[in-house]
Amino acid sequence: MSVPPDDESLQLFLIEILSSEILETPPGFDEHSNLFDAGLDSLGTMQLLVRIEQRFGIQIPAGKLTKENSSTIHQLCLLIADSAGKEAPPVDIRVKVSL
Amino acid sequence: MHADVVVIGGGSAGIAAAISSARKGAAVVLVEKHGILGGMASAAMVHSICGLYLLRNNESEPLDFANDGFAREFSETLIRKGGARGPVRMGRLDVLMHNPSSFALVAKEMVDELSNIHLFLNAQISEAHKIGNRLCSVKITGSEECQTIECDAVIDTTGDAEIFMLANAGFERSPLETLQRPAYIFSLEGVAPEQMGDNGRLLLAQTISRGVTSGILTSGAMGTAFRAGASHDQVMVTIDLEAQGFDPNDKESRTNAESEGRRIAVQLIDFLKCEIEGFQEASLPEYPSCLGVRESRRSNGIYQLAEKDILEGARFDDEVALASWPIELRETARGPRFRYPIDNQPCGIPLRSLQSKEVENLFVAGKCISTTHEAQASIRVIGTCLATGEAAGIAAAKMAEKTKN
Repeated sequence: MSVPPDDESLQLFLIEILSSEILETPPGFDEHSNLFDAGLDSLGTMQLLVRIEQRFGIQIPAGKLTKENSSTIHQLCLLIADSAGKEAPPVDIRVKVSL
Repeated sequence: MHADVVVIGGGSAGIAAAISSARKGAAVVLVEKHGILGGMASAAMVHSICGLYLLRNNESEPLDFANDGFAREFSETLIRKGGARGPVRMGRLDVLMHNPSSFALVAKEMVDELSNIHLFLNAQISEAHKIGNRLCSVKITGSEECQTIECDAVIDTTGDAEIFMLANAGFERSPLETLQRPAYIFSLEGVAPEQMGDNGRLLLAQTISRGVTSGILTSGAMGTAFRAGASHDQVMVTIDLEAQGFDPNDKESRTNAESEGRRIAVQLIDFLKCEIEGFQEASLPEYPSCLGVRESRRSNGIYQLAEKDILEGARFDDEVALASWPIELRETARGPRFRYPIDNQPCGIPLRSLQSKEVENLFVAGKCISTTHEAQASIRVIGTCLATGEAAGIAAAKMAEKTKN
């Protein structure tokens, strides 16, 4: 697991990804703006989670992500920092997935 | 056979056009290529009526219909018959969730009430004949011999500007790489209701993204969104397809995209049943009979509605409907990008955007009215299609009446 980035660079990274790839962010959008009000949906959330994992090797444990604790970039950064250094459980494949 | 008005395409815009024209007294022929009415709202399993209400800043403000008239009448009939649920607030938007089969049934019932609508299902138009700058007849093909329908006015509600193409009336199409992505939509029964709550859907997003990064799921699964359906135990699953090089006007391309959608869907269902408790009892997947196509050819009308009009809430002397949905760009399968109009104001749709520039008695309604690529991303939604359909139906009936006199 990689070392967690400092808060500021993580915040900037998330704002950049959101604005350039995921949302039409309104003027004045910052780390305290409500992501869901800005239009973040489940597709956008998936993009964001994958980019966080690709960039920092961090996975937020399943079930830890809630609307209450992930509605701003600031809150997301806290969650990511909390998850860093902890081994995320692998996807539990109970039955072979058919193609 | 003669018809005052021929409506080609029995989707949202087509049923609105046919019913509105017939109510004005016109003898109408309605031609639909599928075996059921509703188009995207039934055959492709699009399950929410967007653009039905005006935008509002928050839930404490009153909710008003964007268009009274047929759009309102149809949606209220759907609710009354148990085929729709809502309005439902989604982020900054209000939508009505509908059951695709109910949409088709209500549309059919309303068409059947009017004895002056002659409906052809499983039929398409193969030719459009002009005399000068007027269409005089169209040729219908089904499984039997072709039939020629002479007509006074034609409404293109094909979603593909097919009649504009056949009549050389002009159309535009976005480059394939910027065309709005198609969607493959299916439904599931038996999913635990709490799974469709905010946090249930976040868990789904998290699980699917992990399935993709670990290589268990194809990357195409990243285009998946879930919504509770119109009935309590039905979950609607929409997969936006990357479908590289997708061409909605090429049968091989459509076939490939449908196959891609089905492949992702089958893999995803197995995965979710294994990974998420609320999906363990999921059963009876219902697949669509066609792909959800968001953008195809756009007709050349007298006025081309543009992005600026939508964003500035432009109003016109000859407006016949209001567009109230924001510009919803889906140029990638990575989710929508919304552009909202200033102060949430609706934009007028002028009759000129529903009238061919080249052919005097050719009208258009639905997602292929005369717009730019960006404006089309606002007006393509079902609520607005119902409204432009009604407007085109009334205008065509008036023209047919005038021709007779």
